Amino acid sequence: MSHRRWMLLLPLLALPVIGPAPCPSGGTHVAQQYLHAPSYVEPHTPGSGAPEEVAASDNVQSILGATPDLNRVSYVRTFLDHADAPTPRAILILVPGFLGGGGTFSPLAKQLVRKFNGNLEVWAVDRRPNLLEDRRGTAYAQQALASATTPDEVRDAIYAGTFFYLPEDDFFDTNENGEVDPPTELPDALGNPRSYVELAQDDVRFMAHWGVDTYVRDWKVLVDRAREIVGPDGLVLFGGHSMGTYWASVFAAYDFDPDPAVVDAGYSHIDGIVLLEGGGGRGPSATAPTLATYESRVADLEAPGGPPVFLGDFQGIAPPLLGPAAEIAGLAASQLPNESSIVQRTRIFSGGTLALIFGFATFDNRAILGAFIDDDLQPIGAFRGSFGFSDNGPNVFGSFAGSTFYSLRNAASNELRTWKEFDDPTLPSCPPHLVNENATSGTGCALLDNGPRPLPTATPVTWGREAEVSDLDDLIAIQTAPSNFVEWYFASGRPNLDGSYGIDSSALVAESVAATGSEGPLVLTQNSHVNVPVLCIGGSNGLAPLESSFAPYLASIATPAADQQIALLEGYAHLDVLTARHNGAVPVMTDWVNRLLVRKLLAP
Amino acid sequence: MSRSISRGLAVLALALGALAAADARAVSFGPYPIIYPSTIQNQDLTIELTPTGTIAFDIANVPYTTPQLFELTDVSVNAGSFHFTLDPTLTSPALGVIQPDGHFLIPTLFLVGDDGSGAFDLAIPNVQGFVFGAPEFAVGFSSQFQIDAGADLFTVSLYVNAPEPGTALLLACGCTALALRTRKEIAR
Repeated sequence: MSHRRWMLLLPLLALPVIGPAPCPSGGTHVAQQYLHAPSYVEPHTPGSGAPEEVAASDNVQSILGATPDLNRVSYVRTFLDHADAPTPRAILILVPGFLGGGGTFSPLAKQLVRKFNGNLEVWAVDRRPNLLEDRRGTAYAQQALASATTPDEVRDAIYAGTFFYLPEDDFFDTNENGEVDPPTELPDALGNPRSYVELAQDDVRFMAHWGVDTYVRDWKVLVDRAREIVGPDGLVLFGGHSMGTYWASVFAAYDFDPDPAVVDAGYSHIDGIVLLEGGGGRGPSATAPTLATYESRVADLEAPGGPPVFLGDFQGIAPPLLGPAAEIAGLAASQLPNESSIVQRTRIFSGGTLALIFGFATFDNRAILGAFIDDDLQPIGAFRGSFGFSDNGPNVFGSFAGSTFYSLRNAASNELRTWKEFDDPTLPSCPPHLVNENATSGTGCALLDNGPRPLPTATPVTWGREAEVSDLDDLIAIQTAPSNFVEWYFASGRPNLDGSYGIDSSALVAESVAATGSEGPLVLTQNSHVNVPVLCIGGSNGLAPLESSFAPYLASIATPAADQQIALLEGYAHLDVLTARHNGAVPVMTDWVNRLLVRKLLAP
Repeated sequence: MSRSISRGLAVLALALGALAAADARAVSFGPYPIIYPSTIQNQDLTIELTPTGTIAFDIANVPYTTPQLFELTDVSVNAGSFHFTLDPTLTSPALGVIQPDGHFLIPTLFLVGDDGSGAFDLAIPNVQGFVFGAPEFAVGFSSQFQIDAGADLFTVSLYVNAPEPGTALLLACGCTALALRTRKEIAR
């Protein structure tokens, strides 16, 4: 077109052309903040100021100070940290799964925010019990590492952190100096020198009131805050991973209004639900208690000496020790990757499941972390990701609690078991290796073919060719981040009681209204009305490998089939949807969010 | 194929598109060339590039009186040593909404850039612009947005238009279709 002809178009061009849009970034400014906000005031919780408030125990004060306020909601905000970053049009709030901290979402969150160039933020929730973690040992070790200039100073820093949580005794000479070193003592929140404050059940009986009602009200605070940011045309999305998908479905199904005649449903405040490697909630169990039994069990939970309010033991592993040990293992793996494992020389490996699974080989600091979390070596499906393999010694194929895994043995030369990274081209596959090679010479395989994809309606079972997609460095980074990987005091008492109703406590509510006129302690009455779009993502080597993994929940809600999307990532294990380096979940989620956003803009 | 034949086919396609628009259904437009005075400038104007290439787009229903789905379906833009295309990892990398007055918004435009040394993601939030000829048809659009390249901030001005003489024919066809439809409505 000539310039003369171009001039003819000038009147058209003079029509209101929109000005410059807010400046995006090159995608290099993705940042994270660990934030705490005032939240729902649960009356029994320290800091409530209510007549029912339970006084904080000496141990709780030692961790949090003399006047702790535990009515707070904590979350990791992943966002574009740039002066000209756009106000996000979408905020995705995610709840972690069993024993998981908000940090577990970090690799996925960073990729999503980078993909959207800041037009989407991710807020990863840390449930309330994360406030109770005494992380002084990790902080001290990190501080000492920052100024360490020699290998000995690095070792001393990590040993100091180790001896804070897992002190030596007559059986464990962790630093192998022939002496029983004293525990590391550090100033607590009251200024007194103390080593690790491991809470007892009776320290935190107020957790008898940390169940579904308290948690969803915490998350409602975040949902409301997110809505203020994105506005009515923006998206507030709510999701979870693993057991977090149950929590997401519970949030959607909850009625927040206390008036039996008024409904304020959770789903009405959000624009979509995301289920990552978990099938969401189910209906009530046959053993869901009556109101009287419910109240009786809550009373038992809050009484000193009562049943556990947090998970003190899981398959012989104590989460209040596993959490700190994971942080020490992370520091050792990053600083001393090729030296013999430090945590393996502490009491956490002295017995129980960890000794049973990992006690037949001596690992280096990197390999012990990899072995604990890898899909081929960790027998518990909920802890599995595809991080690589260890093949410098015999691996024995076996089974535990219904799942198969390799048990690592010492190499003939007694060398340490080392880690082969996820992107190493020499990772062994089957074939040519055999799955169950013999213990003396076989290594087994990291890349197993689990067969063809079953029909969508089949019973969920793993399928497809396994992939190695997650980087151990990303896992290591999470261990010592402000929001870490493990929830040390995973609330189990009240959530287990509430969980017996699944996503529908209508019978309990009806009983309560009839007896007292109020809706009662658990108001899960809206599930059948949930009508927002749902995105389900599973891994073929995970715990939600088929469409049928999500079917019961999807059939229980009112969301039309056209708004129910299921994506299955071949080869992904349970954690990979969160930790994979080039995460296949990212384009799926990006497309879904993008479509919902435009649909909302199109809505009258 | 000679240049005149391809131009003729392009014009025919545009005309058919405009006629189809009279029946109020999804219409594809383009690919249209990026035209003068499209520019990419940095903040202190020490860098000024003239982008070239083509862009195609769909409008869900044409003509329209309510907001409609607007989607870039093909982007091929050259600027300096860079080449930009739609993000191939996404099924809908450039979804947006167009208003009856012609203004459009793409909440996030997902592109991939390549300078010969490797591809990189370039997502651009809040791309806004104006479609010429809306709401009866579309002969092109203009859009301005900014890209932060880290060390520098670039302002992008894009003008996309149906190639001459297609514009005139398209306008004529569109007007004819509109007149026929109006006549039909009056006859009822």
